[in-house]
Amino acid sequence: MADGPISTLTSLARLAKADAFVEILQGGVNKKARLSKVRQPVHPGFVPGRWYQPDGLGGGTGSGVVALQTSARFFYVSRDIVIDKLAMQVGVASAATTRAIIGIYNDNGGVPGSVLCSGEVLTDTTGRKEVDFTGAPVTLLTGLYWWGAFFESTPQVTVASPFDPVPGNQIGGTTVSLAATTSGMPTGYTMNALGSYAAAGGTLPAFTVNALRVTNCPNGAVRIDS
Amino acid sequence: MSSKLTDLPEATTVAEADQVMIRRASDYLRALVSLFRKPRHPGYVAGRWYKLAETSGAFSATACSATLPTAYPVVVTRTMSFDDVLIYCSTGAAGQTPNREIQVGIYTNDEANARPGTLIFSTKIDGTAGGAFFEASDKSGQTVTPTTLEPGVYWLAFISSSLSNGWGAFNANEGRGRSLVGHTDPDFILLSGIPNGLYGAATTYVAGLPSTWAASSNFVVTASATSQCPVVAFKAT
Repeated sequence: MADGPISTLTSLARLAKADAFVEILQGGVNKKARLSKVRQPVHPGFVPGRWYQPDGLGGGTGSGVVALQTSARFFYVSRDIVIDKLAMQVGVASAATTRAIIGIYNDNGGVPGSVLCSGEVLTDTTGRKEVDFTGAPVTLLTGLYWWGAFFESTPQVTVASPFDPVPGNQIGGTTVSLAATTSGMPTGYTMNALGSYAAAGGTLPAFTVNALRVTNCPNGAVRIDS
Repeated sequence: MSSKLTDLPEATTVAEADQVMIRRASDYLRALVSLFRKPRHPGYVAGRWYKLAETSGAFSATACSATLPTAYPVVVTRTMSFDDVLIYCSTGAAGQTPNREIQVGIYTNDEANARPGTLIFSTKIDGTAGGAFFEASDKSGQTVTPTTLEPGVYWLAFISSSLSNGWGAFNANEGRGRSLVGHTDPDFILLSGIPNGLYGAATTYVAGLPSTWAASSNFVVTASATSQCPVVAFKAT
């Protein structure tokens, strides 16, 4: 437990969720007690080798994307996991040899932060597109993350439904339409377009949120490292 | 909590409602561990019926297997006590032996294997008429055991006396359950068919839900992405 939170404690203070442990006095000796285990499980457990869509990554509607503009959508990992693959689905291919970068941003106070992992895939054919991290699996501790995508061209991919309550509730919007033929809630943030695909350098760009929120953020899945 | 401190090892887990002493300079201050968990449910009102978020959504008539138990993970976020269970019957069948009937069970979560563990609650429900809800307490000769579920992960399980369409099942694309089970085939995840439950080992309706769940790698997914999880609700006490 850091000194910072302790310095503000009064007698009967609340402990912050981020505190790792407290010291407990026993017979003149101080011992550590972990606090992170207090939370109740909200997931039955992840099985190595299986694919999952953590809360917020679901969807299934085909939609076009904007070229050269990075988008990111919120998702929540309810237990610590280690992943070795990412995947998204291309429904309508883009021009020959055109590519996309998909990956995961850490959360930075409700918007995408630093890049946790990313990789490049071709989008010029239909079907599942995977990024392989089996050589260096990636750890996601329990918490919030952002699924990011940056496209060189304009394939059609499966995207988050704007009526999905998870991203819709979390992102919020200035307007709401209940009509099925118009947009529901926005599911993700975007950043200003880069000048070229090459400018990304093969990894997800550092994210700067602009004013535009969108409903066509690609969905995705992660595979648990086996 | 003092009684628990006598043999405290170096990295002991603190239980909810414990008070711990925190050292600040030369002072020791009390802190309530019970405030760590934030409520995720407004609370249960006695006499009201509740569904669970993981198994909620639009539903349609479907078949529930008479030979394969099915189970679906659910998360109880606040202590829930109930004394009755109801299920929607889409196509009734009176006069069968037994009448159209379904067994409902609740299993603990087997953390190591991410599947149902031990059966902790079980009851049966008659479905004699179509388009109606039926309560376990209305089944002749049956008493429902009042049960309390502490916050945590559980599995709702079912086995039906009839394979034909009889129960209203919710859409597998709805409800949070779709994110909990996973699949070895990523196309099931990325496309429309989202697994939200597991099959158990083959048995018979007469034998009923097993007391412990055998290992299985089958998933509850059909081409229409409609699960076999019936619409079920619990009456709070």
